[in-house]
Amino acid sequence: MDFKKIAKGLDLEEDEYMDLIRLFVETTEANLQDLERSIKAQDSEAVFKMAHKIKGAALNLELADVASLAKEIESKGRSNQLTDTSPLFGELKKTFVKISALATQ
Amino acid sequence: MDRRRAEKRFPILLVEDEPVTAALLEKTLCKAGYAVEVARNGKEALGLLAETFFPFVLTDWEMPELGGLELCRTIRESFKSSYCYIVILTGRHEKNDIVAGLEAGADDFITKPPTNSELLARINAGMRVLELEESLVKAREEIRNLSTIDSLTGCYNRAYLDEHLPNELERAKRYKRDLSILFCDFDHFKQVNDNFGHQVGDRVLKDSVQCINDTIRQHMDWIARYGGEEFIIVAPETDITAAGQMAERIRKAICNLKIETSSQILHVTASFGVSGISPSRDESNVTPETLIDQADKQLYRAKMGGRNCVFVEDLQSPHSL
Repeated sequence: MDFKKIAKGLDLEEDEYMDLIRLFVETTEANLQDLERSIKAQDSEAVFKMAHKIKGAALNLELADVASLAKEIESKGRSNQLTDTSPLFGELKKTFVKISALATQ
Repeated sequence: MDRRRAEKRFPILLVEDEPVTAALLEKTLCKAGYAVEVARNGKEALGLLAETFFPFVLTDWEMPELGGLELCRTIRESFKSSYCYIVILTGRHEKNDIVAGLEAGADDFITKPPTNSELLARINAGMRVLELEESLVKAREEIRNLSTIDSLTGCYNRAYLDEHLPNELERAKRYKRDLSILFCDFDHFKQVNDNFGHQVGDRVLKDSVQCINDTIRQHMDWIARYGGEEFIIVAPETDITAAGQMAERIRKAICNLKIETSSQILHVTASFGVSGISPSRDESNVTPETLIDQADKQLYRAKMGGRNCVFVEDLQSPHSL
C-alpha cells in the first residue's frame, strides 16, 4: 500500500491524505464493530448497510483490499445469504489492522 | 470565462453522512477554490438552507433522517426565487435510480467514487448554468426598468404612473392619509427647443429632473414623466399645504439651474399645479383621473397667472366635480 502514490493520484499532499486515513481508521473502527454485531445477529439489512459504508469510505481513499472485501460482504447482505460471512469479516479486520498500524506511525 | 469568479460567487452545500467521503470531497472542492459548507444529512441541509441560500447543492443519496431524493424534492418545492443547482452523489448506477433522481429535481448525477477531474468538470458545468441564470435575472431587471423608466430623464414613465398612482390613492383613501400630487410643466419649452435645439431641450429636462430628485424625499416621493415637458410628482403622507411648499422649493431650484449651451447660460422656469386628498373630507369620489385633472386646473391657473409660480387646490371648499 503505497500511500504516497495514492495521495498523488488523488491530487493530495501526503499529509492531507494521511489525515483522511486517520479519519477513516477512526470511523471504520466503529463500523467494524457494528458489522460484527450484525453478522452475529444474522441481520442481512444491517450487514448490507455497514459493509456499504465501509466500502464507500475505502473506495474514496483507494484502499482496494478493504473495498473489495467490504463489497463481497455487502453482496451477501443484499442477497440475504450470510453464510461464510465470518471468514470474510476476519480478512477484512486483518487488513484494517494493517492500515491502522501504518496510520499511527 | 474567469473561473475564479464563479467559485467565489456560488458557495456549495455538501450533504454527506459518511465522514471520510465528506472530508475528501470538501478537501477537493476547497483546493479547487470553492467555498464549501457541510451538512451531515438532508434534515441538517434544510436547516442550513433556511438560514443561507446555497445556489449549489452536492448531496449523497442514502442518508439518515432525510435522504437525497427527499431533499431534492423539498428544495424544488421551497426555493422558487433563485435557482439551486443540485447534483446527486450515489453509489448506485441503476437507470431507475438515475431517473428517479432527475425526476425529483436533480440536475446531474455522479456515481461514487468520482475521480477529481469528473467531479470538478460536473461542478463547473453546474456553475455555468448558475452564471446563465444570473445573467438572465439581470436582463429581466433591465427589461423591467426599460418598461417603467423614462430613458432620457431616468424618472418613472407614464406607464408606471398609470399603474402606481391608483395604488397610492387607494391606500391613502382607505387609511385616511394625506396624499398630494404636483403637476409640473416647463414654461415656454417649445421655444427652448426651437431656439437652442432639441439636445439642449433634453438637457433641460434631464438636469431639472435631477434637481427635483435632489429636492424631494428619497424613497417616499416619486416623479413620473407625464408628457413631453410635463411631470407629476407624487407625495404620499403630504398635506396640501406642505405640498405647496414643496412645489415652491422645486420652483426656486429650477429657477436657479444653469443650463450651459454653446452661446450662453440658459435659465428655465416651470409652473406648478397642486392637488390632493385630505382625511378631513369625503374623498370617496376621487380617482387618479380627477386628482390629475384638479392639479391640471391649478396648473392652468399658474400659467394664466404669469408662469413660474405655484397654484394649490383649495381643499377647504367643497369638491367642484
